[in-house]
Amino acid sequence: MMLAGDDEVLAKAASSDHAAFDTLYRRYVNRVYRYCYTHTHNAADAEDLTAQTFLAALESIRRYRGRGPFAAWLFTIARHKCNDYHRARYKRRDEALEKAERLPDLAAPDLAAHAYRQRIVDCVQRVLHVLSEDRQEAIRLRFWGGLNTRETAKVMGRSRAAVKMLVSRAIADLRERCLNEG
Amino acid sequence: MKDKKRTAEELEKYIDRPDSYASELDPALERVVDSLRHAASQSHPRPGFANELAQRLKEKEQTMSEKRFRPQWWQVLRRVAAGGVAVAALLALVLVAFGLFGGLEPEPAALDQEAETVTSFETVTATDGNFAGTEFVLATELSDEPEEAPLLTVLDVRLPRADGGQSALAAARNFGIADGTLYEAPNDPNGWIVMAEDGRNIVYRESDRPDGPIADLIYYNNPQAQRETGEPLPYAEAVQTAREFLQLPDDYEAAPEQMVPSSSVRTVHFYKVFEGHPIVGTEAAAEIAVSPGGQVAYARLMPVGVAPAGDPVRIKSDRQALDDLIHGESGYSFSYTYTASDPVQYFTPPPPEWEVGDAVTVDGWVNVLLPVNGGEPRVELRARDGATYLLTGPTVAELVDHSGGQIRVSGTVAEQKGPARWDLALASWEPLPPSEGQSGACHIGVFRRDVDAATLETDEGETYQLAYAPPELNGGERVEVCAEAFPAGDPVEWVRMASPPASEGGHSGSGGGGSGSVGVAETVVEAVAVTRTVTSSAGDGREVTESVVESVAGGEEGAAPASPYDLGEQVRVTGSLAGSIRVDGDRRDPQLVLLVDADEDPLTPAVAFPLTGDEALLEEMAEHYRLHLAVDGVVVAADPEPGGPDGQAIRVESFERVWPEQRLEAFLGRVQTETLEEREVVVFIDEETGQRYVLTTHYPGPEGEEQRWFVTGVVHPEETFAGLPLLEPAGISSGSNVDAAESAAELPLDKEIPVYNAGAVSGPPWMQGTLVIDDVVLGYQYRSVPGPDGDGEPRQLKPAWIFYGHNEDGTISFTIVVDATRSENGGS
Repeated sequence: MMLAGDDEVLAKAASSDHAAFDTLYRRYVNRVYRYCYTHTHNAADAEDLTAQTFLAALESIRRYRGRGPFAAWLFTIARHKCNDYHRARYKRRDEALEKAERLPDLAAPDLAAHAYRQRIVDCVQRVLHVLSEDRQEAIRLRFWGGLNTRETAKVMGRSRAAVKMLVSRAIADLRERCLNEG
Repeated sequence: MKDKKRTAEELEKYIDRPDSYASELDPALERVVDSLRHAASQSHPRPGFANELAQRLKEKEQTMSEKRFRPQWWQVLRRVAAGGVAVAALLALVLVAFGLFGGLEPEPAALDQEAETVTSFETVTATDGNFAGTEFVLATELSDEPEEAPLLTVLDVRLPRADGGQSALAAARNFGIADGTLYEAPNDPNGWIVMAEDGRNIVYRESDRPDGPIADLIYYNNPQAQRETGEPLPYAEAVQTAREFLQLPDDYEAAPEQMVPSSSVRTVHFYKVFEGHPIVGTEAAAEIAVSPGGQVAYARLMPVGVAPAGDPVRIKSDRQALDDLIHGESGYSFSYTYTASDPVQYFTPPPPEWEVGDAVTVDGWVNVLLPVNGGEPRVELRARDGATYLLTGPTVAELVDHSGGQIRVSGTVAEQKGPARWDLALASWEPLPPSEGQSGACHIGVFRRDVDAATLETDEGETYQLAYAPPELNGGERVEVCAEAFPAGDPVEWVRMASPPASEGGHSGSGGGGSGSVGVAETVVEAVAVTRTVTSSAGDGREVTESVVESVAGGEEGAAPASPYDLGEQVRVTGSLAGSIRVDGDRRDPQLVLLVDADEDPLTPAVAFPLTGDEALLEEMAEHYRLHLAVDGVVVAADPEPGGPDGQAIRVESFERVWPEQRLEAFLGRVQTETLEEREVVVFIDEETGQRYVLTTHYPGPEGEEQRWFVTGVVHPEETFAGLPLLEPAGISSGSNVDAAESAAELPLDKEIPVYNAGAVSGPPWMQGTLVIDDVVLGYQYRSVPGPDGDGEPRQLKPAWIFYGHNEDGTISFTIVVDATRSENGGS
């Protein structure tokens, strides 16, 4: 069982102890990947951004002073990397398979339930892109990044109340557009 | 307002504690949260990625601790970025990898005479690129035909627009639903549902996006077929069944078999074929699941339309494409399917066995459909065990406002409509608190089977009797059991079981399960690889420890501005020059972009127009790296990737400096984020002069306020923001060398355009070893959904060679798509 603040303790130790950094890395790599993936919709780019994020974190870990959540610090880096990616997309035109990763979930024999749920999940993913950027980002950080409201607020430079409202409005939008179909 | 705040508070608690928090939320909102959580859980790095990156990090840490510089590719990129090219340079390389700089890419050099060539062997080892070291075994014939093929434009082919849903009804008839009832798709003004009496249905949805037909979809569901269990059909039979059912025209063909069936159904993908060439892509055309009994259980269709775009273009042979691939001289994309070695099996309890007349109480999700032409709503309850109940009776209309929520119903079984499907005469109902409706908890432990009972011994030391036991599961297996409650002393009515627990057994995170069906966990991953290059020329040994670097084009986040120009237009465009020179042996390849301000707002991102033209002229331009140039030229076609400047490049005819006195400068100082003219901007304060500048980027942002920064860039001679001069950064860095500098003059000011030497890094492990190429066809790769910043422009498809194959032990099957166009066509 990890104690509260364990990440921050590890992060302080990580500047001189790679094992501590590795522990943090293992703890966060999937979350950072997921967050990057929902920005890129491309597995290779998500891997690249994830790698960039952790390499930058490794280089900068000694400057982390533990005054905020480690997760927020790490995802701030990831967010910068993803913003770079978006700014650069109009210059980058690789032959991407945009919807690059699919988990068909067909291991679940209850295909009816799968299909019903998947339709909603498909819709949520599709409609998420048409929400305002702030709402998208709040949802990405909360769900794909797995951050709590405080951490999300820190990354976005917004108040906790603002993040709560962004998330709430985003979910209301998604409900209006997606729920209950089929 | 208070309600909104309360909803926001409730949502926060529900998001953070879905299983334990008894919220007062609208169940529909909970459903959205659950869907988001599920969507997020579907993204997984490929196996091995985490370990590969861990190794990189370890090596990086060792390098840092040794204070030695090693030109690993990511370090080089950072160094170059600090010198002023950042993402632009990286992207320039990527662009070249995919041949998007049009005429800039020279013809491939003659092969080294000592190198192996594709034409003279059955086995070849890749020498460069991400496949370096991979042994390719050719199990198919290569040829030199054809020599040309057309580019294709993706047409805006949409489903027939439904007039009051009539088109949906017509489509349903094509799916064998002749007497279906037409319903509104809830919350979707562009969608309809046609439901047959037996539950078969289609969802007919028109796109509400302005940028393409991608969301025009038809889903077909056959609940009865979806519940079938048994051995999956042979692939060829499934293809035939799917084709006959869908009555697909001849210009659709099935993809080669790549997926080991993971459950009872067999999934087939169909691609549209244009003049004999498949248009591949995960979302193109159709995905159909066929049951063991030969019925289509599920289908997802999307109309695909293409038309030739101009005259045919010359293409490479498949031999040349493969040769380019193995020599790292061609961009490519790949997709692959692998079968997990440690599968997770999912189980659900058997469906209930009711008799007509039984009085029952069932919990589940309620789904309400409203007929288009009025009449009684269709109210269906989907129980947690997968059984469905069509609710009938005078009180069902009460449930209209509860659609999507969880309720408990009591009633009498009126008729069995199929396995796990009943009509239920509703007697009463009540909404369920979310905490009761959710799967209450999951426990991990060991499954035990005795003569009369099955039990779960949890890792926490508890023992629970299980109400049902999957016959396929052996005693002693590790399992994860989920149930709404784990009562002490009573059998646990579990709703889902996984063995081994998903957290212990492989990478499939899928839930659900079924009555006794055992599946092999399987994941389809598609990804894109690019040929990255490394350079040693930048490795001058100086120690730079910059943490994060920024793109040259900063400003507001959001969609890239579109190009204001038309193809063929003679233009005079002003912008700053970025890019790099790629060197491969004796070849120098200037890969330049002009960052053009698209509007009058100095903080919006620039459009990066690739520059083509005479190589000598481009080399001359490269001498004015980062400075503003006025370029005269013609707008020509480039790759139409969404988000690009309308698929355009500028063929340069001449250029001149806009401000001859402008120069690249270096500054040391600090940043602070301020709000000026109602915009949040990053202000850089030059510590040597005290001058304040507005950076045309958001980076470094508030997190960087405690650090000292070395900024290189140009001060805009004319533009200001809030009365402050604008500083266009070419590079931003911090680190030990920056901290130690007494003045900006001590730090390197990279005025020269960066030069890259071609090279590559290794790809993921699966790409190593031996790969067998089973087939190669000329086709096209369908351009999928535009991303978040989709620009709505028509998409163009280039001919590509599609290599199908598998790895040595058959656990991975792959598709590699290589651009077939030649350089004079804008290809690689």
